[in-house]
Amino acid sequence: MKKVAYFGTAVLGVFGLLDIYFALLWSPPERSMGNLIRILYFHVGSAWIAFLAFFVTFVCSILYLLRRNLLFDRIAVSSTEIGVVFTTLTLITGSLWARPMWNTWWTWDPLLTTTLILWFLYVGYLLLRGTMAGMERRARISSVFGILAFVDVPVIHFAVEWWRSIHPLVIDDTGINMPGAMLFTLMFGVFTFFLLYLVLLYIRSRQETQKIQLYKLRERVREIRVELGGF
Amino acid sequence: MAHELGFLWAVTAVVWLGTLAYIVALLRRQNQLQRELDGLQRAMDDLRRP
Repeated sequence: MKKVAYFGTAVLGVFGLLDIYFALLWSPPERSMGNLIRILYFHVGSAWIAFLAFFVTFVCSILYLLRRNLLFDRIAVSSTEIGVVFTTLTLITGSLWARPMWNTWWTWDPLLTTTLILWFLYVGYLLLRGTMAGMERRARISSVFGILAFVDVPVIHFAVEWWRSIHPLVIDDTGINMPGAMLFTLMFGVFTFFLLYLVLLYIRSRQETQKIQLYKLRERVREIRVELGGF
Repeated sequence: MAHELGFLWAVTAVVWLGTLAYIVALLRRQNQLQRELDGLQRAMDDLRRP
């Protein structure tokens, strides 16, 4: 397991370096944004992977409620934690882009606000899990929360149409508005972040399994001690 | 130009150093869990030994 995790991390390191090369050096600057367009490659990648992570949580939550298999709960919580990390990166990189472009660190734009709500919802999911005892009960309540919280993702998507937003869009009704080199860099970045997500999900899910093993082993040791000496 | 590059470097650092920090934290947590599991397994073997 350790070897797989380290191998995955090493492969990821190579893709990460290539992504940094494409984003910071290879791709051309944009006419109006200049070099600030390069922020987009990391910002969009983080945002899309955060949405993917929450989608996986949503699917696994439904599957848990249908099948009552704790494996789905383990994947759901792992994916949520990764999603929260990527949403945090999205919010920070967005803010660092907004400062030179909009002359402000933050504005209550519908897209930004709904993304912040998303972050709070899933941080709430993780905090809620920490307060609950009982594996089955925790998994059941978390699954319901995971399904309900996902409602915010389509709201973020349609926020631009429903309310006035100043946030730029990479993809709109007319398609992808980008030259080939920029599109390649963006897609390479998204693929790199996707690999990153897979490696993180693997490592994090294994940890959840280890935690359950630890819990069961502790219970067993306690039982044996009681059987032996009653302490 | 230099002003723009400052923000660009900040974003690159936040994303990649942040990700690296998360990976390191995960691997450390994993090692700690494995140590705890091994310790408990040893404790259980000791208890079972006649």
